[in-house]
Amino acid sequence: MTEEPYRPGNLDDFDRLYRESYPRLFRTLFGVLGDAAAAEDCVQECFLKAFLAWPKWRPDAPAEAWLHRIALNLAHSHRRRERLREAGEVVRRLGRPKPEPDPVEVVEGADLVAALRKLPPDLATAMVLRHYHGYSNRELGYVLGISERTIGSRLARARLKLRTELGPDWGSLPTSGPADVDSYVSSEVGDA
Amino acid sequence: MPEDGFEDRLRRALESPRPAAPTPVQARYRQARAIRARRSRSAWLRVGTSFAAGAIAAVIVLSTSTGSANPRVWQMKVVSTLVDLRPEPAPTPTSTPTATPGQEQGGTPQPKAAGKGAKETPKPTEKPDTRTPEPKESSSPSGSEDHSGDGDGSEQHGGASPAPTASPHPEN
Repeated sequence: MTEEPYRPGNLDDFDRLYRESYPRLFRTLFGVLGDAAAAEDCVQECFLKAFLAWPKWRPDAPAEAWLHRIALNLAHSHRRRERLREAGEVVRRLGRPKPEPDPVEVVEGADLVAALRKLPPDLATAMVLRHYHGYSNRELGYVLGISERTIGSRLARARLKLRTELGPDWGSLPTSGPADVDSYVSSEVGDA
Repeated sequence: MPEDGFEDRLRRALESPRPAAPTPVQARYRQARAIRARRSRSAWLRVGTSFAAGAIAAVIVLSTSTGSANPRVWQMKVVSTLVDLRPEPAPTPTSTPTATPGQEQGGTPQPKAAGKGAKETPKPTEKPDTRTPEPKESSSPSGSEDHSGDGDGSEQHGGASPAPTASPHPEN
């Protein structure tokens, strides 16, 4: 199967890009935001921004990585706003018990999604892109706007935090990659 | 736990909510594109309608003001109105100083009159030159002219004056 390259500014190609990338982008943002509605909103906004920039897009990086970059910027802004809103709600709810989560909203792997949501957005993004989408270091570096060398340490930090969040029930997290979590943990412990 | 255990769980967790089918027709960017196209179309429509309304208003105003539906009459009316509206030419700066009373008292008109006279002087000087022989012939007894004739003009008049030659009359 040969994929036709996308032509900048071509509307049919953008429609094709939308059809092919929408589900993957949605899942990345769901992993980062932990909220399907917010993820969908951000993805739609991302495609709107991308559409406006589509005539100027240069195919020096995969189109989906470019979309991920836009989408993650939007997701980070969304999380910042959400944190402010949550702080306001905490103040309002002071003294009252926290409402139980709606059973309908509890999805499979909700604890993993909730743990990802507790990570800083750039760490959660790195985890989802590497372990769900299988992005290479180069693609990750492009999406996150960091050098390839820092990706290893970022992934190791993400795994460490995730392990702390999930507890022992999840067993060991994947240790493959340029910087493995155990060596990172030992170096952290050694530094301390 | 194997390495892919985490990735399987991650996949199941991320794929549990089903996103809406990605149909570009319902996408936000498509709607924005349609809205923008509609806006540009409506902008052109607005320009067109405003131009047409302006033209109709101009026709109504011109036909009511001239009482005619003939565009030539409107044109003449417009031209005449513009001519009427055109400001009158400002008075020349040379006439304004003479109108001031202060300069009239200073006696500025006198030099002007003198100037005019000075320009006209050649004509009077030429006329006396042509007329001078006539009074000499008719009014010879005037002493003043006799004195002048004795002076500088004696040579001029001497050649042409037949008075001394009239002495032969008594001889006749």
